[in-house]
Amino acid sequence: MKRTAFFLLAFSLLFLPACRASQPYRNDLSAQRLAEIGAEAAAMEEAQAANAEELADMIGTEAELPDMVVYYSANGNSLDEFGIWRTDGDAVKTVVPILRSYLDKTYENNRAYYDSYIPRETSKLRDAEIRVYGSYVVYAVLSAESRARFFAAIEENLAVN
Amino acid sequence: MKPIVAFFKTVPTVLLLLALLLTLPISADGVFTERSENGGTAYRNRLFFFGESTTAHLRSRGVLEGGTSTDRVIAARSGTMMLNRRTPSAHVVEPRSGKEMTVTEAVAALRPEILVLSFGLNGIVGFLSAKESYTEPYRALIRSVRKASPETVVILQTVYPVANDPSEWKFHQSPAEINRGIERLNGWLPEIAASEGAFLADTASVLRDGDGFLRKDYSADGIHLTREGYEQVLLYLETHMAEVPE
Repeated sequence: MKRTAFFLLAFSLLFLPACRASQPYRNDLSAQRLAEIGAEAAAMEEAQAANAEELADMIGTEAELPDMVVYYSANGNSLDEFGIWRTDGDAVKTVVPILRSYLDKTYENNRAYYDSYIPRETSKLRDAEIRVYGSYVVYAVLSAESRARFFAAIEENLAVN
Repeated sequence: MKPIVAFFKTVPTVLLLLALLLTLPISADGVFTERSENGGTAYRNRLFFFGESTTAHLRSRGVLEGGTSTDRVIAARSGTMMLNRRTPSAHVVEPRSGKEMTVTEAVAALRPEILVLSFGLNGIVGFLSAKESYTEPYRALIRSVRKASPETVVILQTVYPVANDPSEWKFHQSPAEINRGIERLNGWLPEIAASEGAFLADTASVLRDGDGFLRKDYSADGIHLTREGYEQVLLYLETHMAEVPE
């Protein structure tokens, strides 16, 4: 009996991640509003919003830009950065690889420079994280502590209560 | 009938040739600053500088007017900068007020008569894997300078070589490989300068030894220059003055 109960419990735990992923999220917040919430939580120094040219350069498109906001630190000693990309439906699946490619290239192409001048910052880029919240794809290049606060704030504001 | 046919055959050809001539790009050869009389300190004092740490070190070497307190070098507090699309918005210290502001704002505040730019070593790995990641941000930076201060004459510098000095080496690639990459970047600079109406000063040419490495007597740490190295760069600029409109 105990063994059966154990296996039933273990089996049901397998579905938890899927449940988390399918947890409904709001989709009515603009990327800008969510970015403001995230910026406050991350307490980013000298936060600056990327302009249209910078965004287009990041995601490699000359087409109309999506509902996307990126904040980065204008302080040359900090690699702090995060981005909110609001999309819908299946488009989410195409966004994650675009952002992953951007983060990986930024890390690989500039590692020598960062390791040389701001070595304590390189790990933020190396450990950059991308998360999907329904219609929102969110990435963060932040310290572990800031990243935790940042994603907690995003989750709190997007979760449907 | 024949003359009319000949006319209509000739005229389109002539028009086509004219159209081709008008759309030909500006010759990249014409962008290099040419040998001139020595403008000396008077010319040196008209120059402002913005670039990577190799530029920021102009201040610490005390080779410009004002010595180590010179107000001719635009630099970030970190003392370095990497060229990318965000460079015009990056925070730097405007040297006259000491206030922190964006590059574009600093240029608008200073209105430099001549601005010497130098980028290429930081981020070189990425630049070499995608040429446009170097050329397009450089063009964007020059355009942002022009927008902030239309009268400013812009001079690009060829990227300085690195020394064959493994003791302080920080790159994964060898100095020889980095120098080969630098030569590729330098090969792209004429087209950038030509398309943006900037000059190009081949200052790197006075820094190389016979093997193309940064001369040991000009090398502080394999990358940054000694005072003598910077003096050679400035002497090159003074003896290859850019034409500045009256």
